[in-house]
Amino acid sequence: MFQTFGLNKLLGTKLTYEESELVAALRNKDEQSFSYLYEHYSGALYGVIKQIVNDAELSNDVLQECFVNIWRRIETYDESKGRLFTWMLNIARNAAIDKTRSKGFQQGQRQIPLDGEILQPSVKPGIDDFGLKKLILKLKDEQRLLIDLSFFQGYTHEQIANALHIPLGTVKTRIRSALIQLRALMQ
Amino acid sequence: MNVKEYISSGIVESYVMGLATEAERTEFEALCAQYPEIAEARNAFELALEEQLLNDSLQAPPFLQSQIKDKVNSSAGEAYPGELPEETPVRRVGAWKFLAAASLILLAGSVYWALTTNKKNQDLLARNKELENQAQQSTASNWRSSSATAPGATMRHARARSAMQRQAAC
Repeated sequence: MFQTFGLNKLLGTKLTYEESELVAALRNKDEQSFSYLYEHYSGALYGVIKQIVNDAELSNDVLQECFVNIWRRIETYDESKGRLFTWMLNIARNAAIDKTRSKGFQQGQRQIPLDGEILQPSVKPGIDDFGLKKLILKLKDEQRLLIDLSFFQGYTHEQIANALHIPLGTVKTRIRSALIQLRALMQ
Repeated sequence: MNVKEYISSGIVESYVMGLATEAERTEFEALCAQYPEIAEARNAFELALEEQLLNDSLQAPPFLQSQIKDKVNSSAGEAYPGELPEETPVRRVGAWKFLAAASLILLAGSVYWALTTNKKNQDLLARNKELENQAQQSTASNWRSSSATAPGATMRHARARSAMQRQAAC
């Protein structure tokens, strides 16, 4: 332990980490690794958060909450279930969706009325010209709506089925084929 | 099972993007452990998504980083912010604590009451015995002489009896 610590001190700021190294350092509560994590991933997570929350100030709150949670909950990360970034992405997405459902979130910003009668797309061409929303703008309307409602707005398959009057099984298969399309659009 | 078909069903993308149901997730994780091809397919999509989001990211305001660092350093022992209970659970915990405190106070009070009542009871019983003895003695000694003390003794006797009855009623 002492040797690792000394080595890190000698090398100064570490430029790159293997993922396993990074996770180990985070688990040791190594602050330098946390800085690296933030510098390397905050932009990617911030983009997703902003596209869910649609508000700069609230996005800041969510990003802060997200990184504090990453730091504190690193013990619960299980590498057998996926990569570190995937784990962080899900923390960020869940925190952002929670924020859109909190009391403080303005009514006018809600994408969907609570009874789910009218589902509106949250993707606006010209505003969302980056990240995943830029990609889903290239999808067919129905596929875009399904990814928008499930990934960006956090509605369950059941809620979407009820609101769109489509059988649950159909919602599931259509979401999956939309995701396959989305993947094909990634470079 | 047809692993290739499973991999190309969209479950991989659905799992990684957090859109799979609980049952689908559990199944997917078990199958990943069983079939390395599925775990590899998952890893490949994770890398593609990660690269996509890293290449097309949005810079957060620079002041946030130090703010987050401060928060992480200042509140090492606190609960996870994401898991802080909402207002209602907090209130429930408060009510529970209040009830526990109130019942302890009640318990202490009733123990004190029981002890003092018991002591009073015994004092009164002893006093009763004494009075009964006195009454019997005075009745016996005045039996034939019909002195003026007899009614007083009988009255003391009666008072002692009614005191006993009051205690019994308690």
